[in-house]
Amino acid sequence: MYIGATSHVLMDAGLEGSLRAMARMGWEGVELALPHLREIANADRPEAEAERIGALVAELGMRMPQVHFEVAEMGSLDAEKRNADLTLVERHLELCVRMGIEVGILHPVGGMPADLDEYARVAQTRVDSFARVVEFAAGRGFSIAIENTYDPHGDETSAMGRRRFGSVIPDLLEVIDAVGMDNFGICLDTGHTNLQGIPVGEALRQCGGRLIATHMNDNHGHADEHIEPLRGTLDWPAAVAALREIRYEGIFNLEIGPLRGQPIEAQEAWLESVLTTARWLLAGGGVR
Amino acid sequence: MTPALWTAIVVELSPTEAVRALAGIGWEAFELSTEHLVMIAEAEAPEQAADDLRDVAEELGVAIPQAHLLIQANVAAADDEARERDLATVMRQIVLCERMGIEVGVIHPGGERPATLDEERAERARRLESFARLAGHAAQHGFALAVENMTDASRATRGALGQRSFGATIPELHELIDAVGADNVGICLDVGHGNVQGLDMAESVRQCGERLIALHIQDNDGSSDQHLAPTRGSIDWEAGIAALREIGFEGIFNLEIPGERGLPVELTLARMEGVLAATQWLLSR
Repeated sequence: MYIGATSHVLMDAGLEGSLRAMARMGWEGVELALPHLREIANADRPEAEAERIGALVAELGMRMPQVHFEVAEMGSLDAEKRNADLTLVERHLELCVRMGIEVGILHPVGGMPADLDEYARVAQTRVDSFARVVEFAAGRGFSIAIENTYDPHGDETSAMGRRRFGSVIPDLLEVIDAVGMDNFGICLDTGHTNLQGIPVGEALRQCGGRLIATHMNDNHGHADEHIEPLRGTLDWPAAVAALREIRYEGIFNLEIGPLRGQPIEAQEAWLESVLTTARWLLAGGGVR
Repeated sequence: MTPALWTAIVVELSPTEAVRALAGIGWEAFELSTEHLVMIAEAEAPEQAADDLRDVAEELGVAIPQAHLLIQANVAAADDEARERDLATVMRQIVLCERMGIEVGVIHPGGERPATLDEERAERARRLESFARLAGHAAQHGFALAVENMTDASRATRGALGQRSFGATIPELHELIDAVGADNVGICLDVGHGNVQGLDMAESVRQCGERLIALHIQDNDGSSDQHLAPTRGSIDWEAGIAALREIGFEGIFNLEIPGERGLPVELTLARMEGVLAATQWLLSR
């Protein structure tokens, strides 16, 4: 396991500035953030830009194993919209392959269907969409990670009431089993498990060998704050112990919000302290 | 659909006193509450107590087609002794219900929010086995079980599935009933639980379909399980009642409204006169 962070942690520094700063601090890994993926895709020569970024990451001695894709409407019953979203994901995936990225993260989006018939059609559409992208990825040596979400407790309701598909790990396993391909796994968002009320150690054990990407972040159990470890209520020693128990060897990727607007020196100092804390945690710190 | 009231609205009274008092203000049908069923089961002569209630109902010309079986029963409990004790109590209550001419017993799906997925699967297996046994026993007594929908828990709750509770959605009840595979197991839709869960009443009625064999009518503002009289909360009653007619539900429109208790009996009865009038108005629209 090695420590990384999503590239938007120093959003004000731009992607190249962020990568250079992170490498200087000693970050080993990085997840390509969605805004940066979009910048690359929208460059004058996207393929060349993707290769330049991939080469820069290698030159800095870092690894960039995962990317956050667009929040595509995987379960949308609007075929045109869904096809447009999937086509964009496939285009981005090809760019990611040029950057040396191996795993792309997608949400199990499907809205909040109002009746059971619609719910069933959305469920099948979601499986079909993932099957399409996973198959596309397989031909390029790439994997897809489906990310857990959390049930809404506000006004959002569906035929299942205040439940959202993908908030519990068995929902994700159901999609993975239905698709039935080896290059399809789970990205566990620890903050989302905390909101859902699943102890993080248990959530990781439920993922087991299917865990191929991580979004490590904390919150206080009320809102999706995406704050750094040990600032919320998550049991971090239990998380680290469970990651070791299931023999996860990938990136311990901090998907935490940037401190935008502060002087860049202050943002870098904060990010350095986050790395120190993450190293302490992975070295067994905080074990009771 | 006939307006009906769950008898523990006047839990201070004995079962026969409760039915007499409520019939006296115009209610014609009842669900025998868990509290009153326990009073009968724990009477010195339970069979006589059951016969007395049946006789009073016949004398007054009122119906008691459903009962709430032991509300605290956890037929999916991990503790074998506790589960067997609850199953025995429920089976005994079913026998007494048959004696009273009651045909449907409402029962909760049970569960204890397991900490791991393995424990959660084991709990599902225990629940299924218990319901299969209860359904077999009930069939011998011409009785049907109505599994009641529940609600998911609050944000602070922890478990292998987080805040999710088995039975908070109607498909989970169908899943259990399908697995039991007995004709005498259906659904009791608690529309207040549905409202807390964020389930639209009309949609949940349609989801139940022909398996709907009992109702717990109660209202709330969506924030908690308040068990208020209909129209005091945020449920869309007009659409919900239309859906009941759409699926051909012909059972009792049974109010389970402990949120309306807390007054001296005579004041509760006065309040229930108003609730009856409001319920009749709702059903006549």
